[in-house]
Amino acid sequence: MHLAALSLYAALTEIKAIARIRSRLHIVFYWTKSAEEKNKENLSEFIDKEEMARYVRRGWLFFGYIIINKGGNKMEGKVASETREVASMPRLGESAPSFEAVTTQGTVRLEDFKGSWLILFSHPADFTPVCTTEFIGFAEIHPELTKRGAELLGLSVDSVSSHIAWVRNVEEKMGVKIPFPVIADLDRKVATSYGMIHPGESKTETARCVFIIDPEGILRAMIYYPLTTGRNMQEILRLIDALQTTDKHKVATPANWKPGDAVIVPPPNTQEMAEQRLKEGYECKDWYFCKKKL
Amino acid sequence: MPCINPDGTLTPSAKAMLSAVLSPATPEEVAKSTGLPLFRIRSSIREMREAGLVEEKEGKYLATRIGKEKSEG
Repeated sequence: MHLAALSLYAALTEIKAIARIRSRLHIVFYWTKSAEEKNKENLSEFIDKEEMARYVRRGWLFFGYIIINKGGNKMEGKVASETREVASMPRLGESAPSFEAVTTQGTVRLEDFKGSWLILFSHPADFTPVCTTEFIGFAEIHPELTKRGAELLGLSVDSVSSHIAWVRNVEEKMGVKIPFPVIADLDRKVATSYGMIHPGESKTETARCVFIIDPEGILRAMIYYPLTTGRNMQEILRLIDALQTTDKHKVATPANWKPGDAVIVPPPNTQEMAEQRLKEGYECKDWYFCKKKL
Repeated sequence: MPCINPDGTLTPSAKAMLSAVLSPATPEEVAKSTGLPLFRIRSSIREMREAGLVEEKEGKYLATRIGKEKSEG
């Protein structure tokens, strides 16, 4: 792969080329612009640090740096002077990253949840107070989620033994049985693929993330909370209700919407539809802003 | 393996699932008859297949001879 890319770019001189190799692996090639630069041993000196930082912020993984001389036909390159891993983030509207993971209820795969809504959530660590209140909260909304065809799946980088001990402790001390499985993501594979670790918050723990995945496996919503702030369970229920209402009725939901409130009729796409819209019996403030009761 | 105890006996949920596939059934049918979530049925059936307790035919699952013996044991 690398040789093919190098061959492709070997003909080019005095340019900087960026080759996208895979969706999450990128190579940036730098070519020198002067004869004296090729004699420098420290290849990283040729890198524009500010520009590299910009690419890193955009999620590029720096693999290495190549130099060819000014004539363009002699490869001087050394590869991989610096490698950085950049957290990948899943994106709304795309397939949720697949996984197979050990949980407190056996090994599960993402595809096991096909046909159901899935709420995949992470917590920083077992046996911590905010997480305990959240687990109790998730257990309390579990029956409501079941009515909506939604499953819960927890995750942290603790071991399955730790998870089992903790959920048993929650049941014994708080009187709440945890009915959902919890992933033991010791190798952080799932956490990494979902962008759950935010080093600015903690380099070793997952943040309080929520991923809502629809029955077709599409990522529909994400919520990120910091370590210090417990999540609002009613908001998670409201979000599921809103997404299901959108799917069922092809409408949008306004700020602070809750089931029973009026919904937003999608804005017209053409002038003719806009003129028609005001005659369609909706509750309209203007042609683009119409609500209706379901 | 969550379906099989360290001593080789089956867990209660595994026995319930095996009982539900004494005649061919889909995962959805097993979920309905056992009251267990569909994801757990899919996950457990996968493990029971690997253990030779269940076999699949045209999208339906059926307990093998070993599976039947284990479910009765």
